[in-house]
Amino acid sequence: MVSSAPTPSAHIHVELVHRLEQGQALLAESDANLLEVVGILKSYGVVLGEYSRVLKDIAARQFVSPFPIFKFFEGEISLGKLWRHLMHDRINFEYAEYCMKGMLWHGHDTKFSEYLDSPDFVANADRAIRAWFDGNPLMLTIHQLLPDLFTEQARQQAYYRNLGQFWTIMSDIFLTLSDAYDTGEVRSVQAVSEFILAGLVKDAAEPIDYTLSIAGKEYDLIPKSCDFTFLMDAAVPYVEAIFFRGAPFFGTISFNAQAFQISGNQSEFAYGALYADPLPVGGAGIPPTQLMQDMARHLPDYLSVLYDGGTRGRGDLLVKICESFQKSMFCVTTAAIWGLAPYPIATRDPQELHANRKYFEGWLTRLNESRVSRVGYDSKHQ
Amino acid sequence: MSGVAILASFLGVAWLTDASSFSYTSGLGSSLTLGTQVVLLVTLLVGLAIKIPIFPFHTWLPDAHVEASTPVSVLLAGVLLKLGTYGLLRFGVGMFPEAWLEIAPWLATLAAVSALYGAFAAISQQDMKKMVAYSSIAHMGYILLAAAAGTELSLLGAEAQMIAHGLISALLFLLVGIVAKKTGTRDLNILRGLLNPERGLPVVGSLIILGVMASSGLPGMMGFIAEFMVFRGSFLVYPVQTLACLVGTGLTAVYFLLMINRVFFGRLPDRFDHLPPVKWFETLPAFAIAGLLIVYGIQPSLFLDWSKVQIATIVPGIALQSDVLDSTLLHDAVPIGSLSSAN
Repeated sequence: MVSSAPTPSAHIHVELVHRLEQGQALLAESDANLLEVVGILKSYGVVLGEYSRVLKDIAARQFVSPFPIFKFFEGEISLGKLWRHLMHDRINFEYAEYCMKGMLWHGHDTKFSEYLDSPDFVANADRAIRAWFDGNPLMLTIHQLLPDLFTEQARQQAYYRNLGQFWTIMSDIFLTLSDAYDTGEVRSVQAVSEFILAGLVKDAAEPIDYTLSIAGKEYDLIPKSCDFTFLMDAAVPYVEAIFFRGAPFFGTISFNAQAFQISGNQSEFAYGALYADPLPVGGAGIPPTQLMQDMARHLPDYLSVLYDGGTRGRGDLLVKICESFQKSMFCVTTAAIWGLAPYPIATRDPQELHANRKYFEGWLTRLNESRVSRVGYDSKHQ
Repeated sequence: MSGVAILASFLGVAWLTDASSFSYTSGLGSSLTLGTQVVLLVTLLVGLAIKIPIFPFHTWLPDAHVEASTPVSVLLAGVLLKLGTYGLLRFGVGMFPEAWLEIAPWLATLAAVSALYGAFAAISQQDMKKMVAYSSIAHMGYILLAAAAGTELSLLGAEAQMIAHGLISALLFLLVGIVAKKTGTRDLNILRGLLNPERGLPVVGSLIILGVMASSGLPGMMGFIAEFMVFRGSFLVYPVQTLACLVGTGLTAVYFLLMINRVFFGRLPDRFDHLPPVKWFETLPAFAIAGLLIVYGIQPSLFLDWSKVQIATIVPGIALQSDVLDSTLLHDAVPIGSLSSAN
């Protein structure tokens, strides 16, 4: 998969452009990076599995419940579980909800979002809502009077389902990647990105759907016939919402709105995981802290040993995890860039090479303000 | 210089009165003419003003703190300066009560100048240690004001302020020392974001914030008790000077908030993102001092009960000499016996 455009790129990240053209990852190649990325993706895979299970459960059980107090309990409500929940001896499902809401807020220009605003979805949701509240005249009256109220909640539940399905697949990819690393199949950062790309391609056509079972009867809110798929209707919007604009990473970068540092164009709003500053993680009001706490509970031993060897040992564990996580997300981004490239990376056709270069340069321009300059180059460049 | 002036004053008392002890009951300065008392007292005060220090005899203190190691700074602020204020009450007020009343208004004015000068100088500092040092100069001014007022309440406040400032400045110097040790600098233009919970110095930062709150006289800590008694006890005697000192205590919040904002908030600079961790034993003394500040702040009678007897010995000495001031001013509206219940 090695082929390069004939003339050097004039882009500010020329080295990274050429690396992408040559099928190399954005993240600099090193043994330490490989260990960090694979290790953190293993713990991330475990956490995503938990997140996805609960998100899909909420979509199935809570649908338009007005007071979903025990939504994270997956139907198992006990004093012991409540105590563990309150004492924070649990996965931070709130973070999964932050991501879901990030997709909801930033997904308004996607095909999936357009369908949620379509008469078809509204009709499907109406049927499901009436079935859900069957025998409850108060809620049915409210639905009659305020038809957008529960319909909007149904839209949100569709995103619970979408993200839940997306993360189920990603969890499998990351855990399989970890197994491949353990058996020696994956030995480089580039191989990590290729492995993720292969997983994305393999599951690209997996359907994204939403069917509710209410009183033994099934209601299709997003039928399979809509042809929503894993790659285009979950992965791509997720990268756009969470990696680029992600609300879950607020607090890690500060903007001064009065100084016009926030663009009116949301697509220029760089605020997500690829831009996040890992240093504030661990502080109050920094949502990524929750994800890092979750991953900290599932670190593989070799990564724990690496982290314990730092100046502060476990004292700055969350920041270290966030740094590794950010590196791993650049590997996922690399896979996404390759996967969405207009032509195969290995092409030798000059016109296709030129088109690919423009495409890569476009990505790197967008990533210019991201942390790519920190993780994309080896230490001698910094 | 300080020692020479104090020794000269003591030798003068010894030669002129044939006294062989500092006992309050020996009469000492009372047997001398007022003019002689004033000369001896002023000589003594110059010596003590260098030790405390009081403006304009303060110039050595910030430089000494900057050069001193952390333990020396802690001793300097916590103990050594208090020798000066102890001397003020024990020998100045105690030995020359008549002369004290003569020069007290000047001392009160000097106290206000010292408090304001120390505060404004602290605002302009870029070195954390110098800022705390200038803060000391300002806070020592309160003790001089209380001593000049000479009421039961103000003198009790002076003693409380000596303890409070000793604890607060010791706490702050200790913690500034840790900051300097871990970061390699005390420069307010360089330090940022040290409250970062993972890679900053969050415990040290939290303790400094607590120390700053105590120094600013926030209720719940001993700084408030001391300053309240000083200002309440001095206001009726020297209202203008007391108000000036109150401005000074307001400025304490200004310069310390500047320090807190610069050093502890904002993003931790990359150059500090691998600071060595602070070990528990490094902060143990600071926790002990902070605990005392809070305990005395909540239950000041634990300390004040010890001081009442001492103050009761000094105050009548002044009152007997006074034919100018109304005794209600000297004893103040708040009787000493009611303090513990009031607090």
